[in-house]
Amino acid sequence: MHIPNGLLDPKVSAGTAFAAAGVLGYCVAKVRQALSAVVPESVLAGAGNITAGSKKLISSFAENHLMRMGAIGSLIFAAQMFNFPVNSGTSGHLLGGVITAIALGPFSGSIVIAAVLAVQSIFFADGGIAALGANILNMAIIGTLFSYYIYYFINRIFRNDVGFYFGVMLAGFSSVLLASTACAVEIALSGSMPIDRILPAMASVHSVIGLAEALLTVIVLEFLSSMKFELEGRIKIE
Amino acid sequence: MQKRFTLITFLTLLFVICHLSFAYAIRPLYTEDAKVTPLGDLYAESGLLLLTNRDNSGVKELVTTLRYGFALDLEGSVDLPYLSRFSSENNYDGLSDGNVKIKYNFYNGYTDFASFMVGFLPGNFGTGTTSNHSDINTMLMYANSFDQFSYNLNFGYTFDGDNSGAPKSDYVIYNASAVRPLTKAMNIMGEIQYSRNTYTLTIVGEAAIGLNYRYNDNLTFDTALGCGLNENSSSSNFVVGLTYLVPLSWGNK
Repeated sequence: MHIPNGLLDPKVSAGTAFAAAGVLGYCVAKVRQALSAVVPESVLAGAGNITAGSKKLISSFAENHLMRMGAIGSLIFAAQMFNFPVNSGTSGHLLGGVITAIALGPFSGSIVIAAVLAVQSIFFADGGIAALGANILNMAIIGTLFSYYIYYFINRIFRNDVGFYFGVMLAGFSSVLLASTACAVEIALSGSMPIDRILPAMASVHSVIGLAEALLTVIVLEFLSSMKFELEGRIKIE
Repeated sequence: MQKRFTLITFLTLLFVICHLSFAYAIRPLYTEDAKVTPLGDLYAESGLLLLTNRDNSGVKELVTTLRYGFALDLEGSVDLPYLSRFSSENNYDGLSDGNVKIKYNFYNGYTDFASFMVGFLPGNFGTGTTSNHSDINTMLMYANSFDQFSYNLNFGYTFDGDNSGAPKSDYVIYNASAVRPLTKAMNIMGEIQYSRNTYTLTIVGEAAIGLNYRYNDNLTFDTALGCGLNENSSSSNFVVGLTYLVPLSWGNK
């Protein structure tokens, strides 16, 4: 699903890059807001060694959250390295968008997947640098942020464990299918291949990959829960 | 180059030996830990190694290790590696040489440990991802600490089990590692690995620097970056993994 260089029209590359940058910027702002602890100036003055202008401190929650982002990011990076065969000549790998979104929250999840894609593109030539915006839009935003809300709404409707697992599986499946559909549309808009050829081809392969993604998402989240890893994006139903 | 590398390794070993005293080498390092798994505990470590050679070929190896404390000072472990070898000509995927190990902690000082390990590496799977012969590996491990640093030293010898009539290529292995806590939950670590083929006299040296993050008592994340120290070594390597306590032993805690 990683689009290489040369497949996208410059207009599509630029458009997707702007869209990705805009949404990622919003995600970064939301995460900063959630992690910044605002401390009254009177408290800072009492601390003595902090300059008068400093009003925001990094809390231990924020420190732990950043470490969790790094840890989950490195695991997703590793998991994306291993391909599983789909049919002759085609293989797939875990996307991990819904895993990161439920483990870390949707905004942090998108940032982590975007960072993984950037590292893969810059250091491992997995996905073109010119197509990085499109890849972030497809996998970090549609495959992570948007797909999280599929889980969110299903969980809100069912309000039990069945709803959680069903939501996770459907979100995992949809994340791959939606990201691959977006990828097909971008390639078609660039004129590299007609939509009636690329869309069925992408959808058929990625619906199989999506099934594996759905299953792996449940397994990984269950594993993290069993290890007492706090799933920050998990909806708590009273 | 070889002399300089030998000198660096010697100085590292000397430095480590001079600073004697509770230590353990931990994932993502290769250096074996002198400490043994507590009695009745079952730990699993899973890690991915991405190694690139100087000719742009390489391997992606996913290894899961199970460690179990059979007795107070005795640990048994099994490595289950799945390897994907890639090059410009061929790609292979499949099981790689496993490793069944027994580690005995024969010395428990106030701060230092010494252990001995014997490993059997079955590799007769007849695929492009195995060595196609079974080897025996022995290793002596010593761990100590100084101030905030912990050190581990390994000295190992691998007996080549190739009975095809080819000259025996045994390996002498030296590993040294140091670990220092960065925060309550995070450690930074570095290591030097060195192995010498006793037939071809080829030396392979690697250095790595890594981090691990202990999320809780059950789960630790890790990552490392490494590079080869001479022309026989890899160009670069990258490790990501995690260690987790398998639920089997939760009831004992």
